[in-house]
Amino acid sequence: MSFLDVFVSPFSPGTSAAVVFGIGLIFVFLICTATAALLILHFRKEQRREEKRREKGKMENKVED
Amino acid sequence: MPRKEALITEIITHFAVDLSCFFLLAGNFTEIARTTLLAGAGYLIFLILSYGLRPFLGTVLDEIPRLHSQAVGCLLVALACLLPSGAAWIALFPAAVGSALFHTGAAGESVAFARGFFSRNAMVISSGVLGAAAGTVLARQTDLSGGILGLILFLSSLGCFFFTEARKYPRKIRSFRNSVTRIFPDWAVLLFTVIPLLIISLVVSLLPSDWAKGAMILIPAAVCTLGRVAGGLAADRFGPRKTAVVCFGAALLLLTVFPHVPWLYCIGLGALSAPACICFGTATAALPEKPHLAAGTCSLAILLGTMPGFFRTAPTASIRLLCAGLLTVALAISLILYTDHNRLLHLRARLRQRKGEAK
Repeated sequence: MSFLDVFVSPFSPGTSAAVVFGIGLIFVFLICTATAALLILHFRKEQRREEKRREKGKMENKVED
Repeated sequence: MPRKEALITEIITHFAVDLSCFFLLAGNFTEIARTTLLAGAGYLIFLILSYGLRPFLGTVLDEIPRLHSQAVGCLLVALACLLPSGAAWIALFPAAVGSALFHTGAAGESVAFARGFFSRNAMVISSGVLGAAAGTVLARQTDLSGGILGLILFLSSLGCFFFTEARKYPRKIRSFRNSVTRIFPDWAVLLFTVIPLLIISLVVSLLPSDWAKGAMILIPAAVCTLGRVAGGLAADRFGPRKTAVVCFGAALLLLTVFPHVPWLYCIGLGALSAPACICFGTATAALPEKPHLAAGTCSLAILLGTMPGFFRTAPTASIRLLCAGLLTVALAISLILYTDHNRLLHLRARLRQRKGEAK
């Protein structure tokens, strides 16, 4: 058996292959969920920072007026 | 352009790391794994660790950029190469983690210091594909010792330590912002950047080069490498939008209509690989303070796209139709998301303006 055979079609249809691949997919799903959570937290933090900057800008304009 | 020593070191090290990882997978690991199922499971574990860890390592590296991730990654892969052949299952883990560390550091660094030039990132990310194919061929056709690879990786890690990781990272990377339309918020830019990468990876998994067997797998790998470099240079010369649209259009025609003709398939594959560097650059536009997390997210999209490849079958008409649909979506996203502004064109415009003022 060669790795190139594995590369081309590593899993022949069958229960064991489906189980192994299914476990792999679960891990991939968990990784994607965790990454999405990280990104959502980052963008929310950026949004709050942007809102604070705008409010600060408005306050400074009011003081100047 | 940024320092050439760092660029050359990253290109060579990327080649060496991927060569070593695939040498281990195709060599010792395939001999130890007695069945196709176990070999496939090992390959799946390697892919999930190597690609899946990148977003999280990227988050850490964005907080602590001088962790020398590239040097440490090289050393971990070198350690995996030096383990005895009987310990192939154990060697899988340092190889995967080292590969993840190296790739996250290199991809983040290549965009952080690119100053808006897509070709820099293209050159760094292109050498890995050739390394992976070369490692697979070397494992099957030579008796190369793991010690030689370990030595090469050790020298590469020294190169990374001295040339690439001594520099202070810029706080915010705005150099690719003009290459992306400003009407979208950052989260939408990231999503629309990651989708074409997912499509590229998916199409390559669904339409494999079945004619390339043995040492012939070097041909599609070389084509991918050249395609990425050409894509980066074209994006700098003509603009990312034109480059991405033309490349996805060419890939749509050649890969879905002529997948059975090897030379046309190769041209299509090269065209499909070209926009990858544009995606990496524009992902940084969405996350200007987190280049490593941006690169890690792009890598995760590539991992998702490779999943169908594990149950690869001959490309039927419905698979070709699906790929045509996916490539059309990628083309549409490129039309909407990218602009034709980039650093080289911006510098040329300024030069022309100054000449005009001088006259």
